[in-house]
Amino acid sequence: MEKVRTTVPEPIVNIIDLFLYYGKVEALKKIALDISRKNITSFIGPSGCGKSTLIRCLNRMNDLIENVTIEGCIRIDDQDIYSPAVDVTELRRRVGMVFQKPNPFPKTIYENVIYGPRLMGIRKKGILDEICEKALKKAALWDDVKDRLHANALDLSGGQQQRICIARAIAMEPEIILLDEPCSALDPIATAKIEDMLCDLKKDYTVIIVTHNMQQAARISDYTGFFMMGELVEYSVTSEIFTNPREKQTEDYITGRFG
Amino acid sequence: MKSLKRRRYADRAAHWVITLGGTATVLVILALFIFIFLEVYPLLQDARITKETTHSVHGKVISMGVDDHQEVAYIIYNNGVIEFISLKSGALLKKHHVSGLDGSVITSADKDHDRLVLATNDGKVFTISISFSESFAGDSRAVTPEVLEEKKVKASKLKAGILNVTSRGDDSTDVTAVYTNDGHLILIASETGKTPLDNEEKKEFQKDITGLFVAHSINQNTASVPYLLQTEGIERREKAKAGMQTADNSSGDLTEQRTGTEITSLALDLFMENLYIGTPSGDVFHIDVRDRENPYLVEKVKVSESAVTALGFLLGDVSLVVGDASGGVNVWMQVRDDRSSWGWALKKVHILRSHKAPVIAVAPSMRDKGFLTAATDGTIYLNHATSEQTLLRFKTGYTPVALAFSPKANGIFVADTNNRLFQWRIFNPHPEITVKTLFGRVWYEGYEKPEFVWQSTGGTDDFEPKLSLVPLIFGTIKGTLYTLVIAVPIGIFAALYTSQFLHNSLKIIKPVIEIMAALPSVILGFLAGLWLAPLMERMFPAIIIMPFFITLSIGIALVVWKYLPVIGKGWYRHGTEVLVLIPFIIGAIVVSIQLGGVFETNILRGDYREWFSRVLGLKYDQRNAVVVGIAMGFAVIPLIFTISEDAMSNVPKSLISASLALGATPWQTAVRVILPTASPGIFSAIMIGFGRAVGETMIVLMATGNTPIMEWNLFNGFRALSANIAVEIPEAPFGGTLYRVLFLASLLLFVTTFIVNTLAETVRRRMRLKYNKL
Repeated sequence: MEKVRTTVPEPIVNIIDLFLYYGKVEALKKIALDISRKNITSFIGPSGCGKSTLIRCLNRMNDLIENVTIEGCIRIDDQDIYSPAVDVTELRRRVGMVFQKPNPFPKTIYENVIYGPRLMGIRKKGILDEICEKALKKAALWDDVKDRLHANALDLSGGQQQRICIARAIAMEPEIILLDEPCSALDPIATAKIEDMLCDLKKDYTVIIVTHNMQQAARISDYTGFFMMGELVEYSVTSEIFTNPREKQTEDYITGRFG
Repeated sequence: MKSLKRRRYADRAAHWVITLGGTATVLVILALFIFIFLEVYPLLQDARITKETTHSVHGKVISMGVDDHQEVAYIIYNNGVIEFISLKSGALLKKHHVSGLDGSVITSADKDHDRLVLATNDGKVFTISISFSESFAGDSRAVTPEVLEEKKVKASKLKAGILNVTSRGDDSTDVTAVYTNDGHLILIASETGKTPLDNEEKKEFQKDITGLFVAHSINQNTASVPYLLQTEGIERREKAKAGMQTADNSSGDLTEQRTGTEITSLALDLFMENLYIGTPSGDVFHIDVRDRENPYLVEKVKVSESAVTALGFLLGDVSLVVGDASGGVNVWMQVRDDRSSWGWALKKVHILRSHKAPVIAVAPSMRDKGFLTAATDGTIYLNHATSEQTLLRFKTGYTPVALAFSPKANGIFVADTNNRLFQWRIFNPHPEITVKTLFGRVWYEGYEKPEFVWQSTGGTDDFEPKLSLVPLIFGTIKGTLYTLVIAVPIGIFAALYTSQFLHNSLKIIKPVIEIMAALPSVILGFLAGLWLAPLMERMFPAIIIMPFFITLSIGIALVVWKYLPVIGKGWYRHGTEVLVLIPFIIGAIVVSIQLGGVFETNILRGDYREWFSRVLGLKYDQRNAVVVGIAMGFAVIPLIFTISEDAMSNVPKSLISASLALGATPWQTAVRVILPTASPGIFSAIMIGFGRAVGETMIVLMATGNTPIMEWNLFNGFRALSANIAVEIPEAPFGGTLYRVLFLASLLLFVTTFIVNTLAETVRRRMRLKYNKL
């Protein structure tokens, strides 16, 4: 069965026939999709379906894992990110990432947020202060922490920690923000806050989110991709996937028959 | 139900076993501490009197003494009677009359161990010797005193009575100085030499040397330079120094110049070379009597504002105790002095506690630099010169007339004007130890200035142990510092590389390095001392240039790597870059060894040792701090490496991912995330390394020269506290001062490690508190 390639407006990322192997195990099978600029795209699917692996390809975090082989091509702004000419650190600056479990550094809130800008060589305190404030505001955390910027980030609650991590990614002014199940470790209230924030973020950034929570995908994303067994089963506008899935597997999954 | 019960029993049993184990550990450490402390404690104890007995005497006591076991004492009266009394019962054992006295009265005596010189009011001088022989009948010991009358000096020129005598003698020579009641100072000497025909030849001299100090007394304001007879001048001194015989007839004339200058006390040293004269004006005259016929005045020193009332030598006859009329007690000795044309000058080196009345007698200990002083008010002080402490103070009701120390320095004898003889048994095992002698600068006999010296044993009986712990503490610090300078960077960077950059397939290196930690330190010490040290001495110039060439080769390797075509990197995997460096570093070492000779010839002008001492003023020892640093580094690097590698490997992967996802390079991640997060572990690694280096014994013992010197010079040795204990404990008599000082050293090590570990643990806990929420 030949899949229909869903077209999206203003694609920023083009994934073309991507295969990925962990050793000999095929983890991604011929993934092909485009991601729309300044929208929220969510990837859903059962555990082990390859959705996290896919977004880790987008900032080459898979490089850190041994025995990974990648075939195919990923273009971001029409540049092949796996070409030898690409500076990985530069790529990661453009493609920020937030992980499943909040992982702030054991440093102050302030130091966490400006970690990236510092690495780029920004030293002036005024500029760093400004970046910090802006990023925390965008991450909807400024009001919570503005009086204790120099407190240890690890003293914050889980939801706040995750927003620190988001602010840390935003501080780099990336084009794309990848979120790998950012709310899986959080309670519903913290989740709601982050979801609100993500909806604000899409004004400035392209957001790609991996989630287990279908309601979350339905609530916040503009496009949704459904993955199974390393394959992209269906990819289209969110409302369509949830109301009128083309594939039987998608329908089974979102209606809770398995997964 | 049954299993629940069993579980409760098991729980309880485990609870008790664990509690017991923990408590036992704490107790053992505490017991160890207490044991060591108990060995050290006697050093801190003051001297004390253990027994006091009183006997009565009959007449004016001139001198007295006692046997080794304090069983029999002798008392010499001014009428020539020597009484031996049993100190146990007080019974008179024996009575002896000095023959040839013919009714004259003994006025002065000088005692040197067994040898006693007695001088009378009509100019006679007797030498007698009193010894004690021991015999054993069954279990009981009998002490039999013996008196040997050696000779009577024919004091031919002496018509006047003698006020004061000092005398020393050995098998062949005998020198005596007397001060007479008509104001003359007379030197009497006899020497037995062998003639070329092997006949014994006895030479006798008798010379009036009053002039030597009288002439000077008139002219008070002369500086203390070697002083000679005014009439003779330099020429005579030169002759005297050259050992030339000069016929001297001038003394007879000079005696006529007497102007009332008096002599209060005399002291001649056992070398029969230096005669010291004390005067009422507070001066001490130092007369060189090496040339018996031509003694000359070396210097005159103002030692006190009041009259000198007592002079006496300490054990070894080098330090001079000066007691004065105002009660002052000071110790003087000859110290090297370039300003003096003689090269030496008499200097005040120790000040002891003052009496409140004139000092009238000084009695030295025959064991150490301790001495007794007695004043007219009946106060008697037991002093120790080097440690400048007064160990005991006590009082007799009347003015003391004679003072004696028992041969083992454990008893004090005082006779007073009330015809009583006091015996005090004292307990004073460690008189030389004070905080100051252990940790401060001490002015020892023969030293130019107060210094930190460790020298526990010497060649002679009168050697004074010098037990300053400072050079040893310094050695420990030096060894530890140089070790850590080498081990900390290598250990930590190796750990960083291994944990963060090295390819998994090469991580076998960690267990290999851990095996290195198990290497017995005696092997490391052996290798360092017998292989590395000579090797380094031979190749030293090459070693100096090695860091330069290694750095250069790494630079070249980096450039080559950068321009190496991708095909050349085909075999390469991330984390194995280090293998590329190996040939370059080996190459650099080879080149350095090749060029070492060239470097030495051209830059160091032939010989590096010579260049070192000339240009840098440093001495190069074969076994030096660098060798120790490297060898101990071998012992410490594995510790630091393993512990910090664990700490770094345990930094959560999520943090590394977070950092990398923010565009950090692996190196930035290592420095900004790994190192700070692993810092508690790295800190404890360094502290454990420190503890190992401080306590390490075999390596420092074998790889340093064990010279207790205090120099930071990289290229000479040192002696560490731990090595010192190992070296000296087999030679330290059980319970002796050295033995206890060695225990003090171990206590010091124990406390240091205890404090460092506690400190480290506190800091580590604080740091961990900061990071444990991860």
